Amino acid sequence: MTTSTDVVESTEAPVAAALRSITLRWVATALVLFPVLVLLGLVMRVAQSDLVPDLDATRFYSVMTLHGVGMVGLWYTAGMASVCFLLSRYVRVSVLANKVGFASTLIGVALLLVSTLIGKFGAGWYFLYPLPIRPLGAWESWATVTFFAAIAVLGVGWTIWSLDVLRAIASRYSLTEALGWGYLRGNVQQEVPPMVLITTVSIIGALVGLVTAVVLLVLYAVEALGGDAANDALLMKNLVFLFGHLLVNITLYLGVAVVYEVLPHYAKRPWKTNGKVALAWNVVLVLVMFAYLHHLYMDFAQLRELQLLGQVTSYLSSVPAAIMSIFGTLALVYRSHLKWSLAPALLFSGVLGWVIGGIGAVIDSTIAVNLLFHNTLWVPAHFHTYFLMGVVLMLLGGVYHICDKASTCERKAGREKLVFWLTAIGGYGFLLMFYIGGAASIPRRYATYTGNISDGQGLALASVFFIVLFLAGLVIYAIETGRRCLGAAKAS
Amino acid sequence: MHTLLVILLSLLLTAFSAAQEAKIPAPSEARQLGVAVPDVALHMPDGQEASLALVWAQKPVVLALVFSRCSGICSPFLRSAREAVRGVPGAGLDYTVVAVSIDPDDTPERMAAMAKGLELSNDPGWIFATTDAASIRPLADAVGFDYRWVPERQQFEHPAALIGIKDGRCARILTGGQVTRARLAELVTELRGGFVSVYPGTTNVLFRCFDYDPVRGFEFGWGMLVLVAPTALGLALVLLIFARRRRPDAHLTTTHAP
Repeated sequence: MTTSTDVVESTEAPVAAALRSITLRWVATALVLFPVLVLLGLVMRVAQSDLVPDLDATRFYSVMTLHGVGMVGLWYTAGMASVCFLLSRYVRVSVLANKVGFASTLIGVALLLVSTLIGKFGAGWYFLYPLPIRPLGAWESWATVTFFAAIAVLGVGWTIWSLDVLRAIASRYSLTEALGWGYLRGNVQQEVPPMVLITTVSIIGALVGLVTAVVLLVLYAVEALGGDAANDALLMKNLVFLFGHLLVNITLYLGVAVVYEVLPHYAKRPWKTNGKVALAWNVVLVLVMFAYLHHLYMDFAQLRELQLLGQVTSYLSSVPAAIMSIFGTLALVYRSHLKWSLAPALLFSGVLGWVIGGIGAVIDSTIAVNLLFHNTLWVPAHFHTYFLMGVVLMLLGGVYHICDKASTCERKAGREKLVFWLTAIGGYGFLLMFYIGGAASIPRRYATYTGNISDGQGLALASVFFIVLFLAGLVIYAIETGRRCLGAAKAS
Repeated sequence: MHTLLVILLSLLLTAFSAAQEAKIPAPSEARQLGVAVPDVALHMPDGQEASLALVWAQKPVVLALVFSRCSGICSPFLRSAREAVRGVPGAGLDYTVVAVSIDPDDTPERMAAMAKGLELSNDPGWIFATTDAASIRPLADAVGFDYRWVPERQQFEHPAALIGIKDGRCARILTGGQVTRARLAELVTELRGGFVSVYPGTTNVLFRCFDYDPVRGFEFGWGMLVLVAPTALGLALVLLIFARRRRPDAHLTTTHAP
């Protein structure tokens, strides 16, 4: 058996300069794109608050589409880039595959900008059938073609990248080792860091999601190009949520992998894989494939048994990993004399956001509740909680850590505190308006709030204030991280 | 042997010809909904000039694309439409039926004769007209109405359809030679701004997830296989990747962070 060290000391990873360089490019891209995408969110809330009355509905939905697909894509790639960098301690990832992911993301983003901002494509980030090919005159067919071209380019690039990460893990660990089955059997041949375990689970899920996207695009193409045959709307909805739900969940798990890897640096305690951790993540791997079924509660044509499976797997897939990670985080931090600089603060509060959003998600995945909540602002409330205040904070913490370690820039505690409190107050204030809106039955996906839902205008206006606070924090974060990023680039 | 070859060739040609004939599908409502319909000139039998946009600016339009020398579906289709229109009050008041010829050789007089044959010459709810030759194809394409000239038969091959146009956009399409009052009533209700809660679904569906039979209940369809396929394929890829031989690397750490 390969022995692990209990001695808590920093082991310098042999990180290749090229990998560092491409990771810093990812960071720089994220630092530009994230504030822009937040601004798009701000535009939507401004329009809903009626501060700017002239944003027509078609433009609103194209902005909503770009905001959604941009955020999902940005944080999936940010998660992948962070994980690749941190994983290079343990396995050799390919810089070329990373560059393919980067190039395809840049091309994909350019195509998305064209299809949404110029072409006004507005079918939403998960392009639910049959909206993209039945736009009812809201946008031209070239915008749909451009959008699908973007998805295809992103899908191909990300699949190559994901396959390479698995290849890198497979070059050192067997599948049963990487999934921690030795811990379950009580027979550990080679120690497996949690980073490797969670990344393996995540990438397997991501691959299934990406292959699903390919099938989805092929079916769209068949209908668009051939004859009078139509796709089965139920099949298309199942496929789109298998892909979409997996991608978002996997992004979350990549963030958690970063927490498992980075937080111990600050707590100065190791975070090891054990039987319970391995069991939790293996359960997640199986059940996350079925959890998406909770998106189809409203579809009466779906089999009742599948609806029930959706509820059960939604509960079971979220509980083990969340419980293990929460207790793990608390145990790691408890009496560790951790110095709360920005990176650990963001990582820790990211776990907190995951818990709060996760509870919201579990509530919403309860069939009886979902029938009431499904079309209200409760839904964006909970997914923004685990995404914005969960995985985004985890990854912002991870990125800050990576840049901080790579540069010699001096830390400014005052600015770090300002970033933390502005993002925390701005973020949770923004979310609170969504939750109150959900409780007041304000519908989601409405471009304007008039008539008997005009209460939504006031909530949207309050959101604008909180988003500005969040943005202010984000700008300071971008400056601080950008300084470190530049310093690291110069150093390398 | 020679006879057999001739028979086989004939059968092949017949099959090919049948396939060619079956190639023109009816307009797909799902594909055309919301598509902008081009404004075209309308040449009326009484010598008046108008345009389609002028007509839909006053009231919604139910468009029929026909031609006067049709020896096939046009006349029975228009008779069926006439009966359905008579059963749905409002023609001439809050909607207008416009029959436009797809034949560039048609004249307003020929269309007038067609209207007369259908006893619709003086019906205020109906307009029979020709349009400019260059406008026919763009108009037909916009509403998904495919047609082609068959020289051997000196006829246009074409489907039969009533196209509901509201505010210059395709709002609904009824296909088939028989226009029922119930279906036309749905179309007119929608043109009037009403809500029609149930639409007949398309029958040619690829890969259904489930089929329902009143006796046997739910049954899994091919769609379930399509749904499971990505997961199976993804897992197969994973197994393939991990089947490779592993190599120890002395430069890499085996310890946990930190």
